[in-house]
Amino acid sequence: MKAIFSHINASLGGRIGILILLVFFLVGLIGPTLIPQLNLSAANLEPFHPPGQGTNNYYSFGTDQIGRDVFSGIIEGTRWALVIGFIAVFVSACIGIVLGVFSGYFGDKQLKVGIVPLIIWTLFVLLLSFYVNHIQFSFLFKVVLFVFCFLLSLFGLTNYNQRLRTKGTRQINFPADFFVSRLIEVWRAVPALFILLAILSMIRQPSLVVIGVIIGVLSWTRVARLLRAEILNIKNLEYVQAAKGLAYSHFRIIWYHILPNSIRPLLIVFAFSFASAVILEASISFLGIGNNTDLMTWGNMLSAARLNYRAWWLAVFPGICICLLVLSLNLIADSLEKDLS
Amino acid sequence: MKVGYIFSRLLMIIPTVLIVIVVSFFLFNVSGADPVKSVLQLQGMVDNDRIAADAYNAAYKEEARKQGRHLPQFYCSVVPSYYPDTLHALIIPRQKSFAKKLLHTYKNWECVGNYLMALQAMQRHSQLPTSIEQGLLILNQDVDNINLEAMFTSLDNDILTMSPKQQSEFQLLQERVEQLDAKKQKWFYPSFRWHGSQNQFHVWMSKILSGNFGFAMVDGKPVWAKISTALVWSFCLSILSIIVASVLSILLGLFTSHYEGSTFDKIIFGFLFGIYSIPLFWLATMLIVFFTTDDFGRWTNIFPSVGLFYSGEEGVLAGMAKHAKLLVLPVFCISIHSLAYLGRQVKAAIVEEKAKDYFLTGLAKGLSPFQVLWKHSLPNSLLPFITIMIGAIPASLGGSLIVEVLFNIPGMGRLMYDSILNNDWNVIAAIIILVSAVTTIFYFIGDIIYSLINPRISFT
Repeated sequence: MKAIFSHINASLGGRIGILILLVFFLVGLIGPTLIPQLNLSAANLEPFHPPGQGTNNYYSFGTDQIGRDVFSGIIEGTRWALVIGFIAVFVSACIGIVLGVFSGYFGDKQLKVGIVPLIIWTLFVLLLSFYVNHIQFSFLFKVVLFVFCFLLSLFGLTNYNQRLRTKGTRQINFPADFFVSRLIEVWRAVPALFILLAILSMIRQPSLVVIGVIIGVLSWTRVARLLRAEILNIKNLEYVQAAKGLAYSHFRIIWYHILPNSIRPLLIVFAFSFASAVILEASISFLGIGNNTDLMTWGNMLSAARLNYRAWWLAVFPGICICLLVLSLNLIADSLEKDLS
Repeated sequence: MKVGYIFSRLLMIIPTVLIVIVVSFFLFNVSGADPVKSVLQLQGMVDNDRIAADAYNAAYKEEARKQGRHLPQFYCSVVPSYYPDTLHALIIPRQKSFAKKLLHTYKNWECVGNYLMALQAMQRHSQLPTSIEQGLLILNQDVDNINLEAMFTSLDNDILTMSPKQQSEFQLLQERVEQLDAKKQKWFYPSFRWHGSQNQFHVWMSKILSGNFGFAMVDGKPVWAKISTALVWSFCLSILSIIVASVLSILLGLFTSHYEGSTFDKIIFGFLFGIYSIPLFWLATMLIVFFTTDDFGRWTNIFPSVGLFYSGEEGVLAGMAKHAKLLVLPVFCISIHSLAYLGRQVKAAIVEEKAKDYFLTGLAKGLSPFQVLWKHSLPNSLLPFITIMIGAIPASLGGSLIVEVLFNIPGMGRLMYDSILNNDWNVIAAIIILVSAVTTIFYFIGDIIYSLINPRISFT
């Protein structure tokens, strides 16, 4: 971690980026608790008021189409932008790291699975998905239940598999790399923005969390591809070979030796994914699909500017915020990228 | 080996496209878009009138048969054991979802089916007491805790006013309700059903594979006609902007590689880096506000205001020539946005080539630096550039949605946006399938060209 930070710190761009990002974090964390709660009763509203002194309040950044203060909105929007970015990065990292490690580390020839446990596990997963699909619970609960049971069974499978190997039972090759690479190919063929819009148009009033999750699910391939390529390089290095020679478990090799050594390229991808998630969310709210206009997100304010081109403050201030956030992330990624490879 | 590689890559396109077709079919079904309803709407039949409900339902059934919607959805299905074999034969969506709701609550098809039949028989009577009629309406929505005594106020009096036939049918309904509660089940298991090739997906897919994309749900025009013009517009737009971007970036790369590390280089790339961080839609909005309106003074109002009215009668190329002035800003917008990335790639490649020995050899045998750069370094350093360019064409098909919407260009993104707003899944599914197919084909072409140009690449 220290090495990473010193790397960012080494270049001017990286320092500026970290500074801007920290400001955004601070604003996002404590800003909404500090902003004065504006009186939003109907009599006091001044829609599309330019920056300056209004009859009731001083609007430093003007007001939006129903008279909310843009300055408070930007502070609130900072929090939403960070939430979206973090969720998207988290989801894409979860999927991308698992699949990337799976395909890069095991390749086509090194994942040995017992036939019987594989069949039993597949049947179990099919049954699980069937019952989860048909029980009458909320969608979120279903998803959590499914993921939990799935991971538990996967853990059981790998554990059992390890025991099989020590006993010397016959096992088959599982071409992990083949499947994951094909999956990535299919995923990349589909235009992500189109699918995102299509899915969002189906959901009534999607919350920002849902949007973040969908963006994350749609963008995991970036993480997986990069990690796969990175691991292909790393796994033939001496220290990994040594760890293998010491008969460490796959999990230990991956978690303690491979992932820490590929953290820099991963961070670069995370920064890019974060930035593109923020931009994507702003774009879809700007287009007016699947957005929740009650929330003061940057994208919503920008789309309000479309109603009235003369309300330049609605377009300029949130736009600058997006630019700064994206710029800081790009700068950080850039400083990390220097003299890599 | 090379032929084998190309062939295997070619084969990989097929499963990709098939998977995309399956996924878009699935999304189509989930979306709740109803192509039958839209056809009826275009014919002027609307489902709001209780009196004409029978006529509407009959028309609906006929149209659904015509479109093959009475078939099961997929080749096979895994459904709960209490599902009947023929649930898909219930065509009217309202009836189907009602039957499904009942099934999920009581988990017993025999009783549910009997109950539904009794309910329908009861509804067929025209002259029922008003309280009974209202009670039936409630029955058609509620599935939990069906309690006829509580639901029909003054039930005993009402029964007496009905005709004997109605009375007997009402009694039957009561019996069925009791049965429903008595035989309610709790547990179920998955049951696998095989439907064969007579299913909606098969019909739909074979239509699409033979190039018949059906008709748009909004206006009934053929989807292919809509898409083909949009595709040409998008292609032209993306090729134009790619040409502009690549020419600019090559020039930029050549130029800055000469001054690598100088202040000039830093300023240019710092500026481009800043532009790269601007979201495309914001850049576009700013350009529109600044250059097409009078708000910032007369002199900035260079371009005509946005709004490209393309009637579709003239050819696309003629249309583009006619609206060339309107295309300047979008092309500029897209290309300047990608310039930072592309220019940096080119510069890095050229700098790398410059460090190699042949560059020195060229200088040593008396060529000018420019000649070496132009004749030897540039072709070598543009190798990776080719794949980027070829990959950029399909990417911009999907990526230029915002620009097309904002600048009102009738391309794929614009069509997609409009169709999404109208929930027109006949068009959406067709676009998704086509764009993914085009993308895979372009990736394939890019790989092949790259491997042909660069013989060092290994085929594994």
